[in-house]
Amino acid sequence: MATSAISFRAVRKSYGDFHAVEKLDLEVKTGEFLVLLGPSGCGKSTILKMLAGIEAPSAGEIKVDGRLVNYTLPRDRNVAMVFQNYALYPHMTVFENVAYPLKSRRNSRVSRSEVPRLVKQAAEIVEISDQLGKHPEALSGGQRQRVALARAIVRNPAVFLMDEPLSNLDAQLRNTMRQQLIALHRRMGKATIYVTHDQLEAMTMADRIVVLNAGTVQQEGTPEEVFRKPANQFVAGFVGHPRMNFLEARSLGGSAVKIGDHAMETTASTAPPEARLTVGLRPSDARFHHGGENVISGHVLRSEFTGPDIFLTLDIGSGLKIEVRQTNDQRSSSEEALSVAFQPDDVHVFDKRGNRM
Amino acid sequence: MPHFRRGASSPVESLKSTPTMLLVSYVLLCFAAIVSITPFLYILSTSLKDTNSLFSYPPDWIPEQLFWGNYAKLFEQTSFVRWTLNTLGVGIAITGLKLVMDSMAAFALAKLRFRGKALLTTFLLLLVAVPIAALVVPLFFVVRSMGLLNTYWALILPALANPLGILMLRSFMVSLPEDLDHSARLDGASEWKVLTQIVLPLIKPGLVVHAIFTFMLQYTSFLWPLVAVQSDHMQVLTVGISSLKSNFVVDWGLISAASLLATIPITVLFLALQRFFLSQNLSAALKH
Ligand SMILES: Nc1ncnc2c1ncn2[C@@H]1O[C@H](COP(=O)(O)OP(=O)(O)OP(=O)(O)O)[C@@H](O)[C@H]1O
Ligand SMILES: [Mg+2]
Repeated sequence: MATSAISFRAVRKSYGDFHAVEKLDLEVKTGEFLVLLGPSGCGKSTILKMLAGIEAPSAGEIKVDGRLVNYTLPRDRNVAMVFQNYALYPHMTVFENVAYPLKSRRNSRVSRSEVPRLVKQAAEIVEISDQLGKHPEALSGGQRQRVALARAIVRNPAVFLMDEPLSNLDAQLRNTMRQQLIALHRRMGKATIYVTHDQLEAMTMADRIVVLNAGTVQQEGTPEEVFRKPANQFVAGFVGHPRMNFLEARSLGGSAVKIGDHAMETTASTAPPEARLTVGLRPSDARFHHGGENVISGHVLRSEFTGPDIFLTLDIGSGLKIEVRQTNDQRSSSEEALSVAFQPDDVHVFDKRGNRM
Repeated sequence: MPHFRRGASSPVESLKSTPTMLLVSYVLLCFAAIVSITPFLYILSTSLKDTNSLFSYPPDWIPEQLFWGNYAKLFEQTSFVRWTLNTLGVGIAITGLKLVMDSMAAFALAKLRFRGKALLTTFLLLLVAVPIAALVVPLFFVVRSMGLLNTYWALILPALANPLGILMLRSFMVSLPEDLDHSARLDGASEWKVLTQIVLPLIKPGLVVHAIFTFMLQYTSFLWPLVAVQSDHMQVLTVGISSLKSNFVVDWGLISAASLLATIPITVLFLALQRFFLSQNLSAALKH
């Protein structure tokens, strides 16, 4: 495949002095499921809107299927979008909603007589065939979401955009919809950009994640890369639950660091010695009953029982605290003093500016 | 501007809640009804009296003998029918044209992006504050220089320039979620289709209110039609009726008959559309 389905080149969006999106470079291949992940207000929706043609970029180039679309009307971009609140037309039935993209096009490739067949086909894929006569207000949240999906897939676009499509659903439904969305994506084989601020959604669904903060890309990679090798402190803190512990540390030179009184071996090169650093440790990387290497000892301040796991807050001296996760089978008698070990691989080291070392 | 959110219980319901409140509200309503209906009954009574019994004192509300002469005179000796047709024709023309023009202008202000939009909106808002009386004289010269005095255009065109309807429809449109029209554009709709297929069906209550408001305003307007049109057969009802008293003797019976008949079309319109005014929940209309 010579060209990407979607490409952003040095795209910027400013509102007056405020930069909602800064110098964005992004490629999405056909069949790829790309997730934009970031906190509220980081510019995720703005990126989708620029691609859809709802907002004009302040600078840069946007291409769909290798074609520059900066000056193309939304309807000529071959892009379908599922909006956060679904944006179903309230005065139309489900059938009319799904048929709308087919009927409203001037030079539609679809003939009138084909419309009912295509609508039924789309409705079957998202399992709303029995709802076609209803108005949107008579549907549940999950059903509305499916109607919005059907309306997007019915016209067979080159690109799908989804803006937090699951955020209005309850946890249970979110789980099933997540799997169904991925199945649907595999079936359609189109380039998809999916926006979310839920890191779990991003991790489970994405082929590739782009982490955004304040309009800038923080890291781009597979879910595993982003989780295992976060590019900076922001990504490290945003991805992974429970949140990573950040501890002040000093370099011991080579690849060793000192957190309080505890010396730790890492896989990063931490020179020069005595440099101030931040060390990140995931609660879930803590190993119990190991002894020997890379051990931090402390006493238990607080323990929270959550079912399968117990979350312990340890005081490790020098005014430092750390949260660790213990699974039920690792549980020892209710000890006061405890040692936890971290693999050198699991010790994330960040420089003064928060970048990974 | 009206908001279409589902409120808690309506004010009417909460008044019903205690017997005392119920009583008070009925007393108040009766009082209001009497105050507003008495002049109407008096006109009715006057229109059915001949000149002699008109000034008898004390006045009898129900004439001993019903006198239909005023009505006969109205139809035979005045242009009353013509005035009524003029009024309805001009009112319908203005209402129709304004609905089309105002919804397009409101759409531009509510849903399109262009330079100077905020300024333009503020300007329109300021224009609303200018009273008709201040405009009559300059308007007269403008219309005269266009050679339109004493034509129906003189009655129709100036009325179209009222910005209030634009602002009202605009606020209805602004309350629609932005994503609806974005979605329609992505789905392939032109701006015209976004307006006619998405926006207008969703603000139907607003269009009805606009239409009634415009029609009423036209139906009751007096000053401008008085200035704009001279010939008797071109007059609208308000001006025509007032011309009935231009003799030395004021024929109250005749004027009452005319006034009474003049209220009929507008009453019918109101009754037909009252559910849009009285419905506690306009959002129901918005949803379908
Ligand atoms: N029309 C506008 N004028 C000024 N600032 C805007 C405008 N639209 C968006 N912004 C700003 O741009 C930034 C990015 O907005 P955007 O809607 O893309 O955020 P988001 O990442 O989608 O957030 P969320 O997760 O809350 O939806 C925000 O800080 C927002 O305040
Ligand atoms: Mg958003």
